[in-house]
Amino acid sequence: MPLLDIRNVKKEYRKGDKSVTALSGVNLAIEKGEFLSIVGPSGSGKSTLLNIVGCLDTPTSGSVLYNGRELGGLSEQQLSDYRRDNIAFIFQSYNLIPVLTVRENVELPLVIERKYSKAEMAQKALAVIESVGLGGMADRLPKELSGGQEQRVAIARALVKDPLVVLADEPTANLDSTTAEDVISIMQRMNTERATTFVFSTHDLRMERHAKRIITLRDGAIEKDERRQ
Amino acid sequence: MFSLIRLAMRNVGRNRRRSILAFVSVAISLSVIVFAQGFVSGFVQSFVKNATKNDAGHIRIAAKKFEERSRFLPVTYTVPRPDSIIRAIERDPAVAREIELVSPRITFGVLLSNNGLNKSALALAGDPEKEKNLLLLQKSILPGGRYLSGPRDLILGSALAKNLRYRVGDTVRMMTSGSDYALHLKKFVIVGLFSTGMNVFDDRMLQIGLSDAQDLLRTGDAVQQIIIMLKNYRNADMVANRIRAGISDTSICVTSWTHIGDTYTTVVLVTRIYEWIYVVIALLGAFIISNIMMMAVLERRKEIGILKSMGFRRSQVLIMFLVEGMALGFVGSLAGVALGGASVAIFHAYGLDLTAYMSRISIPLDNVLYPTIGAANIIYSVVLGTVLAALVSVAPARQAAGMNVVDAIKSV
Repeated sequence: MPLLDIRNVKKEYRKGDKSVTALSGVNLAIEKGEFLSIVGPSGSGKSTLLNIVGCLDTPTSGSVLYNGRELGGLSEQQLSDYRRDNIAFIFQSYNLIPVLTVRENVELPLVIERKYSKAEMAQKALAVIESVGLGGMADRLPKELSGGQEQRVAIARALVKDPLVVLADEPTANLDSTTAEDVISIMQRMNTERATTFVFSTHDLRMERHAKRIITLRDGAIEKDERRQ
Repeated sequence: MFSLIRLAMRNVGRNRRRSILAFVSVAISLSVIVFAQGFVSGFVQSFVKNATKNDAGHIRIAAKKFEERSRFLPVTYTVPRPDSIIRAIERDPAVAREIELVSPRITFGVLLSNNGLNKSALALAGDPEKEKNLLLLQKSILPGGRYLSGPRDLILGSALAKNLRYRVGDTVRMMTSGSDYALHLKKFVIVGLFSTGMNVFDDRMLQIGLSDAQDLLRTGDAVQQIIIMLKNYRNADMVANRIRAGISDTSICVTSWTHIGDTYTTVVLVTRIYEWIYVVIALLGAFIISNIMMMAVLERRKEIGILKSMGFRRSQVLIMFLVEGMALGFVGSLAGVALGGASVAIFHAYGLDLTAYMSRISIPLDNVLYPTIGAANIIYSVVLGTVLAALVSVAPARQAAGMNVVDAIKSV
């Protein structure tokens, strides 16, 4: 059974009087531990697909199954809980909480989970901060970091709760090439070491190069599904 | 370590200038409220003290039939053997420790005439020594006069004396209906004129000794009322219940000031009106919080989206913004209470002199008011400021909580 099973997902938006089709019947099965890249031109539906997989958005028709469980009928609160327990996001513009320190930003998903003691949360956060190469910066505020460092914190925040799936929307788009390589290698390492499933949309050829599977979207449909060794 | 509340607190400090504006707005409105509370409390205290000491005290012991007709001040329904009742009251330590003064009294209407001038007046007759601490008229005797010291002595309000062209040393022929329903006449000598500054006193009151009144009214040893003044007028109901339980004579009635005349109703009315005024003032102060929170929600749309993407529930987002609003209200309220409390303390020390206005009003008030504020007022004000701040934050918090996560994340 695939970890994520997307079945004939369609998504239409209203834009004024017009109906715009973002996804037109996407079928995709994602196995645990995949390092999957979604590529395609702007407006091809990459972000929409990620949002639907991450339960941030709902499909107009079709279904998304997570470990065989249909997510379509879940309430808003159940969807929040689903995101909290299973999914982590990395965004193009980092989106750290500016009033919280690096450690507090990374601890935030654990605070929401409410499964750990204060000491356990601090320990987990510091370990993952160390693993993304930001040891010694735990007490800094986001404004004291470079763009690359901020994205590392965002990765640490995504990984701290050991999610089964990390969804990343253009994670290297705002980074210079050296920093982007660093971020990619961290994600790859986490994929290998923790078997975390990574699904990321990208325009970045460097990222594409490292992907084990590349889904090419065009006009809201899968044009190509390519696997690499 | 941080929690939802701590995150909210950090957000409060995010835009300091804006937060300070909210604090100042709430602080100003709360300081006005606290000062108004102090002023009203001083007003009520003075009003209750003056209204009760001249009338029925904090507790009045009288015949049941007198209570039924008390506004006519009948002298036919009396309390026999008042001394034994007073002794019984003073023997109960729970009652005795609450009491400041007990005074038997007869109050009755009289008609005064002098050289064709007629004027009705209210005669207050009590133990002159005890009444010194109750009516305090000895403090208002005009030069050339003195307080009561013997039989047939009479002191008169200065305005009343002026209307009837009486002077100190004149003889007054006082005529009234006694407890036997017959008309009785007694001569008194004016030994002093008093000027209290309160129209209700100076225009229509006179004071004589209790034994003179008992003689004039033919009441024997009986009195019309036993007046009890307490150290704290707020305890009147409780003490009245206790005294009532100790009196076996069913024709005697023990009544707290809260059940006599219009004094209590007036106090409740004034207090209620001001409570609503406080709410309006606090709302005006807190309203700026609503605007500030609305701005914060718009500015932090993306952040709200991120928190929701991590699994923050709608209710958690709502609570976070409510806590932010409450924090602004709470800190502003504390500052306002400190500011208002300080101004009340200053006016309490020096008094608020209202002499210039008192001659024009007939409310029994001291010329100088002393604003007071208690712990209950302070707690009320802080709670009011905080709760209203939370209430005005509901709309922005709901807007934040209901935000579509995808739209929020996409927003710049």
